[in-house]
Amino acid sequence: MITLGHHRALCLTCVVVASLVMAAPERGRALDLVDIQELVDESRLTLARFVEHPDMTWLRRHAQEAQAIFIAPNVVRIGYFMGAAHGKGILLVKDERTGQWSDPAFFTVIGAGVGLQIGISRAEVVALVMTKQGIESFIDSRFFLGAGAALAVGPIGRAVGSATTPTLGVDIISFAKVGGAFGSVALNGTFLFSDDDAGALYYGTPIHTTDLLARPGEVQHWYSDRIRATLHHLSKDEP
Amino acid sequence: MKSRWVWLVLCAGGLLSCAGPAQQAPVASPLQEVSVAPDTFRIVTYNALHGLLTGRFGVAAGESPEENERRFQLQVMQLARVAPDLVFLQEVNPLPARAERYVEALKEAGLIYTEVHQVDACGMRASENRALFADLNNGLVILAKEPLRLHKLAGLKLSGELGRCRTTAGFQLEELRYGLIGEISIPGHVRKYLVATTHLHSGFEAGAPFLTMMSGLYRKRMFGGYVSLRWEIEQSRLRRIGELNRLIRTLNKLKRERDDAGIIFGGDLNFEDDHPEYEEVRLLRFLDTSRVANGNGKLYTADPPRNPLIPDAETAPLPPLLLDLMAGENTEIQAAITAAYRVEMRRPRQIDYLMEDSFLPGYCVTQTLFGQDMDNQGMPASDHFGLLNVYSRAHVSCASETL
Repeated sequence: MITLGHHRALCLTCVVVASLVMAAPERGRALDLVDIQELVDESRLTLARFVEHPDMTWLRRHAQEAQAIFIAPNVVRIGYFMGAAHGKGILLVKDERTGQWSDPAFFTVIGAGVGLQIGISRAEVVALVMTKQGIESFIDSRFFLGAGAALAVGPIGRAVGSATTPTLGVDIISFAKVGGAFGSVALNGTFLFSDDDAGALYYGTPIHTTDLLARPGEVQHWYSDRIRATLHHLSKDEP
Repeated sequence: MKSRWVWLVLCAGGLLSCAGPAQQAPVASPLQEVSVAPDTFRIVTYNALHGLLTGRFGVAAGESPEENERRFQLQVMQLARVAPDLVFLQEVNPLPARAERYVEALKEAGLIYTEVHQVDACGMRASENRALFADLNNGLVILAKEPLRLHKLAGLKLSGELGRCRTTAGFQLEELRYGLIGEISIPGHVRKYLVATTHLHSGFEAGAPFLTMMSGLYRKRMFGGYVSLRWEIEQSRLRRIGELNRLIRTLNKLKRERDDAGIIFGGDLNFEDDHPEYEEVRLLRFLDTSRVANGNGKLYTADPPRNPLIPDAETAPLPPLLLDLMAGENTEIQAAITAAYRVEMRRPRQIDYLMEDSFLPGYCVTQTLFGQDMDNQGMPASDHFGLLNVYSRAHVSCASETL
């Protein structure tokens, strides 16, 4: 006889196994430069779709206040009361002195927690990193969102103005689009692993994430010109 | 005795010269045996117009069989006259029969072509003769004239998640866009070239003058629908950018892996040179051959005043999106928006391009419009004009610019 306790344990086991399976590299297919370029391209398109959307008034108005931006264009989420999530993302940091954006640093996103919706869904995530502490948490090679940084879900809506300000004391503000609709996805309980292999493939030389983020502007790859240009034009107020 | 040694040395020398690499006439691959590099090389890109009326729930013939045949014969006549080495065609319908007809018809004109194709709109098709929309199997074709050797490398899906089209079977629950990628061997060129054609997403089309006016109305609080209109236009642009990203990433990867000499792609790209998609191509380090050949002079491939096959802007129905968005405005504003849209629809545009990455270096290129001939009823062969690039070997220097 299967009790409720057994059932929960079974679910938890399934979630952990699913997370591990999704986190493991695909067998027989090594990561390719095209995959990394695709991640950069898709991240940029995700950012552009978010910024241009009429309901993203707050994001448009406050994006320039961010010290860094994290974008994960394709986070696959599997849920059955307990949930697992996996995806890739990039982080770009703004140089305080020049206002120029860095080239991307690459991360793997793995999540497990309670409350993810039942079924399989695909989420696009954009997170504004508002403080130095937020950036520093990313630089840790294994960053557990929610442990060292204060997180908030960003406001969505056309009428949302500057008065709605979740920024005070918040390190990271996240926005998400799940299954085609903008909504909130709490990032609490998400692990981020810096992916130096992806960086080495993209830049053609080994570059540690720490160095890339600590000295934005020092490394510039031509393929990142377009995403940097998109970030540069974030300040406009209306679509 | 001495003369015998002399003969022996001479014979050995002769044998060695046969076995060793020739200095005057290099031993070449079978391709190089054909001839030296051509002095001129012609490429055409052309949207051939499928001639169908496509709606949300069905597809019907948009012209009579006689009109369709007349357009086809006019296209073939113009292709035969130019005799391009390479042809990129879009909206060829139905495949594969229509692609084979181009080959046969051009053969009758004394030109031997090979073709590769990729269907990009198939509806629901189980086999060649069993389909929900029997007349629909529309797509992309590349033709290569002898002695070029052409083979298909990929029919790459660029956008659209629900569906997949193959030559004789497929299903499609939404708009799909593809890129057709091939590889050609050119006589006298040791390395091969990648060639590709595509027809990018076509959404609500509007250029800067129309959008500037709509934005002005919005700022005066006279057109609240502008925000949604702008959003829809941005979505179309982002979709095309995503399609370009995918095509160019794949082309670059194939070039690296196959050690090809260069890339040229062309087609109906559905954007103008002041749109973000055009900048995207530039930032991805591809060159618009129109700029090289003509500087800032434009060749309008979609030219309503000169092309009677483009629906008349005065009588064509307004797009449902625009009707919805301006429904809440007063009649005066609606009339102003309608008039601005009709002006926009009459504006000549260049939306077809040939883009290259190191294609035939050392050749000069000129570009002209293709497909401007009219039939005896004053109708052209398509609602687009195509582009014809002529590459000439630069013996001294190009009149314009050497690629």
